[in-house]
Amino acid sequence: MSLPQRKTDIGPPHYEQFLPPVIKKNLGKWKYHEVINPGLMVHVAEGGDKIWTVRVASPRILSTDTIREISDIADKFCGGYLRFTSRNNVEFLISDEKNVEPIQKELKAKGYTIGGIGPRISNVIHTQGWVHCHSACTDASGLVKAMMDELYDYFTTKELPNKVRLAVACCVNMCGAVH
Amino acid sequence: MSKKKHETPMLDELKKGPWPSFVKEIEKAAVKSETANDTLGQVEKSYRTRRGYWKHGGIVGVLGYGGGVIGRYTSLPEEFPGVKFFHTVRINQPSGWFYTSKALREICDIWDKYGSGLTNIHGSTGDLVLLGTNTESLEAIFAEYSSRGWDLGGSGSAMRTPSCCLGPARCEWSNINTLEINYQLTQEFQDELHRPAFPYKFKIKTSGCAVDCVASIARADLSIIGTWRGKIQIDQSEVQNYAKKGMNINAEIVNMCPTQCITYDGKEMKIDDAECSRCMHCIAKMTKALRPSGERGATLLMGSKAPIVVGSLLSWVIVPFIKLEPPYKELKELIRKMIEWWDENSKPRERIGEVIEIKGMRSFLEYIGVPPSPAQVKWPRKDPFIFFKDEDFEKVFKKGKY
Ligand code: HEM
Ligand code: HEM
Ligand code: SF4
Ligand code: SF4
Ligand code: SF4
Repeated sequence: MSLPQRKTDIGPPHYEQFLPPVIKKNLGKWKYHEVINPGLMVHVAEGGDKIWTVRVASPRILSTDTIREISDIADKFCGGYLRFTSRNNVEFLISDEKNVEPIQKELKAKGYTIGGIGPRISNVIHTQGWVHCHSACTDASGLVKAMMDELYDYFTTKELPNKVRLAVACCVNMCGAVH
Repeated sequence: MSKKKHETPMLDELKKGPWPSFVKEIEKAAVKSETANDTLGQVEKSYRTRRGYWKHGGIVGVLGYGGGVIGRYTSLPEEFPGVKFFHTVRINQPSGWFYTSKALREICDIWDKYGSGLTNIHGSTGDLVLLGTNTESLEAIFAEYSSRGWDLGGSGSAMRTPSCCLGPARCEWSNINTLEINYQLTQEFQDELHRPAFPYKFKIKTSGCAVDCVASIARADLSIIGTWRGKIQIDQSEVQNYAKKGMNINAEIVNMCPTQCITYDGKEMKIDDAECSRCMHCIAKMTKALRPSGERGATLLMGSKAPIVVGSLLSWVIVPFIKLEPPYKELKELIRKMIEWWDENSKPRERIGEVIEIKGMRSFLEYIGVPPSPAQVKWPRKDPFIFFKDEDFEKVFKKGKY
């Protein structure tokens, strides 16, 4: 089997092709946003256009099958548009208001953890641990899982005085300098 | 289809509980991949013995690049043959981590063909990380991805993959086009990104405002943070709406302002803009009532890094205000000068922040052509370590002042 022609130094694809039309239209023209529930917010543009965002937690280590499942959900409700946050959450970008309720219902039914928006504990940034680093003094994913099982309500419902950002590093290298 | 090879009673515990489980993800991949299957076995063993079994070492990569692939091997190849090689491949993410389902499926299809089916979405630096493949597959993986428009990210002593907040795409607070700045800088430094030639790593992160959603101030050698020069515009009727909805404006806004420059008498809110440090607190709490106005740009801060080797640093101000408009020529030239100075003055594995502390701000500022300013003082009574030279004193004496 022959391979396609490799290219070098092309850099990442330009982000614009991944932006939903309502974002492309309102780039830099957002007016305000409202947090509707811990996993749902709406951004409103100067001209009145709206985009809804539903946020779900991810364990960061994702199998390709899970990514395909997430992609299917994005196809069904978001015209295929989605993004990831700097804290490894998945954000479904919904342009059509009539999809806002159904996507939350479907995500709940499929067992996704919805939340992380507003004054709560968001997802935990962490390093690689025993899953694939040579210098790990401890595991990272396991620690995060055990910790967030305990703090689960602070992601999904409970409020705190401000946002809380937790992070785990498995050696002083703090690779990627977790934040 | 491969059956589960290893008993994993300890990892099974981590499938319980409500939070999404990474063990379930590895199991999902293990159905199709021996590599993922043996990953499970080895991680379980690590849980039992409380140590890791991965080895670094051996230069692996793709032709013409010095980075983007991290070589990884198990030290127990007899016990876990599936992870004899477990190299990771960094794919440079699009600005702001926006994707389409089509793009993600394309990434998955290629990865299932050559690798374990496991990913990190995303690595802390920003890349989309593919976990676990062997040396022979690397060229094929690179050809498949690059021919479809995906390139490798940085690793080693090089420019690391820059990342940014989503900025203008979905945030009313962004003062700059973080997405485009990030894209342009990544393109500008392709050579430095793919062919490690620096003393150590160099990271650039861009946030549209001081809320700093990508934590650039804590984890980038160069932190670009959007800011403004005009006044904060106040919509007094919206202020009243917040008050009516139960916001205690004096407690939550006025008293929390770090420079104490807001006043509110129950009717009218006033801000002494000359004293405002543009921290974003009031704006983030009262987004409908307050917005920045006037000239937009960014503050450039430098130096943050993790504890290794001599202690952690947070970035501090180098350029108080810079306008950032395409094609970002001034910014690109400034970054090149910063890197040149760092390269000339550092020992291997010294990050630029450490070198500035060792050599002093003066040498750095003179080289990059930025004037000293009070904004560069990290905090009150911490001087910006400027060393005076003989000619400075001569200048003063010649003026006949002393
Ligand atoms: C030629 C004479 C002097 C020189 C070159 C000198 C130099 C300095 C320097 C370099 C500092 C450190 C500033 C900093 O790191 O922020 C300092 C601090 C200080 N000096 Fe002097 N000094 C002199 C005379 C004096 C005298 C005569 C006094 C008291 C009567 C004095 C009292 C202090 C005090 C209290 C501080 C600490 C200030 C603070 O940290 O707030 N100095 N001096
Ligand atoms: C009963 C008399 C005094 C009391 C209770 C007192 C108390 C204090 C206190 C609490 C500080 C702050 C320390 C800190 O937080 O770092 C301070 C700093 C200082 N005091 Fe006094 N003080 C007294 C007399 C004096 C006198 C007589 C002088 C000078 C002739 C003086 C000069 C200073 C200076 C220069 C500092 C700043 C030093 C620095 O921070 O580096 N004090 N004092
Ligand atoms: S923090 Fe240290 S041990 Fe953990 S993944 Fe990074 S380099 Fe490896
Ligand atoms: S850093 Fe500021 S501009 Fe960027 S997403 Fe966060 S709040 Fe918005
Ligand atoms: S931005 Fe920060 S410093 Fe400026 S007025 Fe608001 S709270 Fe005060």
